[in-house]
Amino acid sequence: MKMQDSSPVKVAAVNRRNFIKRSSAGTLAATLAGAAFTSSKAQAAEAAGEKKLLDPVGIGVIGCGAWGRDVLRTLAELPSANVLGIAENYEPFLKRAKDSAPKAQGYSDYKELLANKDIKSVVIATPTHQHKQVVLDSLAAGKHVYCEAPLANNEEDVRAIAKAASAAVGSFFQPGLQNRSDPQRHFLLAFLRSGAAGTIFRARSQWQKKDSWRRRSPNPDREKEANWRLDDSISLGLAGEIGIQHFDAVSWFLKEDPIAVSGFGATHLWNDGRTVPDSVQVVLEYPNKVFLNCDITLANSFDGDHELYYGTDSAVMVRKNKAWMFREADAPLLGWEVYARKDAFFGELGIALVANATKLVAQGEKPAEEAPYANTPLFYGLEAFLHNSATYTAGVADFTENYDASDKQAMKEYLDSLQKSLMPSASLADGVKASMVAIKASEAIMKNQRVALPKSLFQV
Amino acid sequence: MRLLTRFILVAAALALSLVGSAHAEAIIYKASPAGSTVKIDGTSTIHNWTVEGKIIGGQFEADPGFPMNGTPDAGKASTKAKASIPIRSLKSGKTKMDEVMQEHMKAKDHPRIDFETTEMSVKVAPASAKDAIVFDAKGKLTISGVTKETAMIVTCDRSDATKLKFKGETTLKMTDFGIQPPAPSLALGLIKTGDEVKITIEWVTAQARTEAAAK
Repeated sequence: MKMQDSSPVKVAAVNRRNFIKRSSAGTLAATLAGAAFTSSKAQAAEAAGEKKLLDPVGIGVIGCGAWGRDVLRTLAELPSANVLGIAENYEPFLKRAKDSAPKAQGYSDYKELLANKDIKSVVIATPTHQHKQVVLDSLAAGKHVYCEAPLANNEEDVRAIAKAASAAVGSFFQPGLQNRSDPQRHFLLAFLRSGAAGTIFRARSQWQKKDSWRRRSPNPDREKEANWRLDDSISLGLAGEIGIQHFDAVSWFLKEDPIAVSGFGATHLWNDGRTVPDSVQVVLEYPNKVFLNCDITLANSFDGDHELYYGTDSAVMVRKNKAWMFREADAPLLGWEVYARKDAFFGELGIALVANATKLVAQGEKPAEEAPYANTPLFYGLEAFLHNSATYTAGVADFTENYDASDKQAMKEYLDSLQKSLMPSASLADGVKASMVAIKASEAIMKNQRVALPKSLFQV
Repeated sequence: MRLLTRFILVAAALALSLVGSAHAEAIIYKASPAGSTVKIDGTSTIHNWTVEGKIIGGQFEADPGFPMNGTPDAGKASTKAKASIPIRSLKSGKTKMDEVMQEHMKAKDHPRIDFETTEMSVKVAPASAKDAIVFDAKGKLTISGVTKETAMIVTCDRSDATKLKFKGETTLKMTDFGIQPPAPSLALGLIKTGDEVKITIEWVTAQARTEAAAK
């Protein structure tokens, strides 16, 4: 497999041999769970330190629909969040959003929010087809930008966003691929890349929920606007709004870009005039005949959402912030799994891969069931954005005070050198790739065909 | 007629003095981002550590009579330098360590390390105009709001016609500047940091046209 990773995320170099060596030595002291437990503490300490280190930058949220209000509720949990503005052109949403950000200035026009010089960063949570203009205006106003995924609903807009974000020296850009910031995912990444599950040859993911996705409003125009997700002329449907997180997670773990996508879709339950299917299946093809089968439906909620990675030695299941390994009978003994907590799943025994889930840790202060990373991926994504925005703001100020501020190339090189000081997050390139895959997956579903994904599609 | 002649003479004298003062302007070299680095190396009870930064602001100034492009003699040099480093630009690659460092250096109150020369002399006269000039630079170093007289041997690389690259290093004790060596309690237990640190700088400056242009 060709190893290629555009992510700025640093992954500990772990190979199978030293992983196993570490795992079997010293009753878990530096094993899978133990190492993760230590890193958990360190991360918590680092996060605490970060709050003292950098002055929080003022942040604004553009788009206060259901997701935008989730963003605001999450920001309210982050001490480093200084929410100064919220923008929404639908008055009832703006009022509701105020509950989570009572001190923020409300704007009916996002351009007025962008004119506020105290707001350095913005989270863009508008409907996907409106992202482009808001992103371009935000970058032109010199803001750091967190743009929800997918970046846009068509290739042209994705490229326009990528071009503007690349050219906006001094602005930090983060696509809303939150898994990339989740510490539990980083722990799993090291595990999967170590080869401890053998060679990963297949992945499967699902997201199932009985939910119409329909918004009700007494105003027909407003209802049409609110139900943009159900209109295939402006929405990528389930592949774009849900599947993109799976596509990105699997591509990241496999360290590969998909080469083709096939799609199938149908509306089984919500025959209400929508033009996007309520149930879809997507097959992503990776090099070496590795496939991801992704099932998403709004017609049944059984078994929720999860991912499965099938290796020649073990399968790994990821559910929210927990994961388990299911070993094959002939899989080589790793050593540490003897001490790990085990959970039964229909006659299969899952070895907990959750950091902290070992007997050793269970004998200590914390119960093994308690996951060390209990927050949502959105929490970690926004936490990283706040930290990284503040790092960029400080970097730009330091550069401008000491060097010729008009030398943009030199400023870019300086900011690039700060990568090690950033918290893990999705890069612009990650956002472009995931968005392009989602666009093509949606196309494959609507046309019920296989669509090739040439490398040129992913070029920023 | 006499009045006119006197006016012309005065005007000519004024013009000459202006020309003269233009020639007397110092040659200014402003800090340039490409290639500037500062490195601080220290020790601790568990491992050695390093923080690095890429921002060194300030300027180097040479009197017009000083042969910056020639072969100055050993002895006192009519040059001076002023440099500053934002403390928050110093990075270890570990957020926690950066935070500990900044806290101990009282970065909120004293956000920069400043150095300003009080006397520079050519320590080793270069053999040719292309050779580096080795300066003995004495000056005031201010860290965490504490100023100390310090001296440093600085090599000035002139191989690039448009830039000067100064290289130097010095060793100092944190306690001399009122900084208590950090002893953070981390996941691995209590860590004690050594008092002595080595500072290495590579400072690139590019010539500005005149003192006025540099402002």
